[in-house]
Amino acid sequence: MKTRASSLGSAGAILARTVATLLAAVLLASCWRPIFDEQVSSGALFYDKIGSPFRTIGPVSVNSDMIDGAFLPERILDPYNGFWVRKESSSVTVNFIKYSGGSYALSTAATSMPANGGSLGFAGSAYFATNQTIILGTGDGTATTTMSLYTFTAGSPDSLSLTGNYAPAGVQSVLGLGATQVAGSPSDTIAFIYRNTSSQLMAANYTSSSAVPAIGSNAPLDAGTASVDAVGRAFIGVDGAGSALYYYGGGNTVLRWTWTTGVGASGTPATIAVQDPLVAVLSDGTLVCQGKDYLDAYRPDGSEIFSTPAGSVRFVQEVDYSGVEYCIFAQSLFAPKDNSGDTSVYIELWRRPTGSFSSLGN
Amino acid sequence: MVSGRRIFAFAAAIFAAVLATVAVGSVGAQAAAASTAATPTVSAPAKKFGEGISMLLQVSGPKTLDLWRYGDTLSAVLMRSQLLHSVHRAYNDDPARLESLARYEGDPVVLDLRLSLEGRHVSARWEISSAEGAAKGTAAGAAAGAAAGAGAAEAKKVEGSFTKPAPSEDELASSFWVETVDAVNGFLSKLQVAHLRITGLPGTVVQGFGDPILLPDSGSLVLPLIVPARISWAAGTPERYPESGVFYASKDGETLAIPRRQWALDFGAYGFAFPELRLSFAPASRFFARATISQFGFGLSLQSPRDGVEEPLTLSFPLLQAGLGLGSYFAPPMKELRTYFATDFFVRLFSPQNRAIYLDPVAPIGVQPSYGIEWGRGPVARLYLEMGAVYYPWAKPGLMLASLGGDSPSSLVFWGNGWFPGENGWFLEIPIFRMGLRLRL
Repeated sequence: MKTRASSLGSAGAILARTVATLLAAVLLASCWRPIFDEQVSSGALFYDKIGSPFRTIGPVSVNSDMIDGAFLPERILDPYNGFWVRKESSSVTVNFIKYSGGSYALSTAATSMPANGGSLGFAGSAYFATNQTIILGTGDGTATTTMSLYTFTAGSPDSLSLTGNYAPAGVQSVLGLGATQVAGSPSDTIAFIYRNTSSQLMAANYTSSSAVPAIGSNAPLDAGTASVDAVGRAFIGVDGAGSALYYYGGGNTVLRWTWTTGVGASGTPATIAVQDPLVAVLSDGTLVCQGKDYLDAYRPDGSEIFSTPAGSVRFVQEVDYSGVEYCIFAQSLFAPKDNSGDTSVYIELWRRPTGSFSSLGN
Repeated sequence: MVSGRRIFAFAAAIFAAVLATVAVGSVGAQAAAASTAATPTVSAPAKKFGEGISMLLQVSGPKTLDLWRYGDTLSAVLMRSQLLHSVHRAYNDDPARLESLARYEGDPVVLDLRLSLEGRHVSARWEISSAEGAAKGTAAGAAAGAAAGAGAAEAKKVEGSFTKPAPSEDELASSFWVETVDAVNGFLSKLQVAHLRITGLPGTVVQGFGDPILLPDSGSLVLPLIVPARISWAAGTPERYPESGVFYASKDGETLAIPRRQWALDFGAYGFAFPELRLSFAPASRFFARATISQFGFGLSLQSPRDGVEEPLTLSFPLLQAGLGLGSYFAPPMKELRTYFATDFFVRLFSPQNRAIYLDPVAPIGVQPSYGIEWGRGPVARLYLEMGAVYYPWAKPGLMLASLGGDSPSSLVFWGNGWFPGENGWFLEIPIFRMGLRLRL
């Protein structure tokens, strides 16, 4: 017969087993987190608007330390290759992803650029398939920084070397704010945006193209406040008869200066309210902003065109093909091959004519 | 890997919760045991429930008198009264019965009858009471007095006596008790009677009002009782948690609602990390339906430092799961340990940058079968632990894997079709744990 004492003992055993089970389960599940990434899910929402990718690159076996980077494809309409650019605390590391023989391979990384190191700010980049040159605008927040130009030996992207630091003619010591493709110009036109020692904003063409009405030293833009000094936030855009320089001031503000050839606009810049950081200015003057999850488009006057989740589908650049401009989007996804922990990256590319860019908001 | 400091804190919290539940459950169990042990004694009820009130008849006297004979005949005569529903009897030569009745607190009126033999005559002295003064010196009387209302403003008591020749059987059944019966009827007619409604699940047996009450299919009945009254009641069905309590009746039209415990509220932790809320409804004792809101905006992380960098103690994802489920227990409610199986269907909603809410296109719908263990000693607070799997039938497996950001999954994952990003397929994650505290309402 079951006694009360044995009942109590049984209850105690049940309690002990329950507590032990709970603790064991806590240990097992303490690392659990949902399989969810808001950028990936936001990117998937964007699929319905942007359609199927025209190119999928990968899988490319990578190390886990490559995750914090972005794919920079060739500046052509139908790229197969591209750079994998990672910004680190004091340097920029570049790998080359090359398509050959039906598969993709990753080159040895060219690390710690520029060689002089320091507190590097990544000011922007441009990659030319024609001569395999990558241009990195760098800056460290002082007035002694120059733009750095790196060029690969033709046909050998593995051997990336510093070919020299570039500074606009006559200016040897500037605060670099950006190296950006000039919207609406031939695709090899790059403008350097910098701030001189007199707190004047300047823009100069790297190439000999005259697509950008030069402001030169004769028509400086007044930086207005000392806060216009962060690298990677300045962009050049064509605005009607003249040009415009945009500077993302952080938060929800973009500053805008305009000028025409030989006539500088030294007054107070216009202020445009945005929801996400400015990442590009298109050839038609459209401002492209992209944050963690959203892609936003604004007209030059600051009015919103659309705002839509795009997440991991990132705007990369605008390229010119036979006089028609295309917007290139890329999505880089890391996924474990299996439960072993090995990782591969998949890169998908989309293109959309700039003329129909605004329809992405529909 | 797990940080030892965090494990200790987490384990301590769980242990405290278990102890608290045990304490609450033990008190409830003791109360339930005390109530259910008081099995009422019924003296041949010949009336429908609700017709009249019940009375405790205490008979004492010398052993030379056949007290049972006198008590039985008085009880039978009293039962002719429309004001009485039942009469419970206790004799001074039956201590066990007195003890039993002492624990039974249902009789609001006590008739204390003291018999003595004077030569060839029988002397009877009685005292009828419905208040504290009703029972002096006996355990049964003390209990009955408490039942009749310790807070009564006016103690109601009637006394009387007679001496008659030793009666024959016919006289006992007719004229011998005339004075006593008149006194009882007079007493009862002056009591304040109120009508109390008792509600609960149909089939519930309620004790504490004299005879056990069986709630009809309507789940409700009305009965008269003398007020004010303090009623210790107990209720239960074979497929329900036993319930008990104390009800203070003071006026007409009051309702005693027996808790149905059909609703339960779960305060849980999804994956032992993310607080979630669940409401369940059990129309029957074993089957239940439930709705769950699982949020991932705040969660605890017990990961140890990785690459020398301390992992954050909290996690946050703009993700919400809303689901409905069905399940069934494998054991009846009164078991301390119950196991069950449930299947939940849920949708995944997310809010990028908290601007708008979207259905997650990567894995919009999930099905989660789970096996659960529920433990508790009382009807109210129960601990539960669930282990299950999540199956996403229309997922994008490549994007699910990409959502890990290059990390290994924290559970085992399997997928079919759609390895490539953006392609459709199915995805399975196992195991998924849940634990928490279940409160039955």
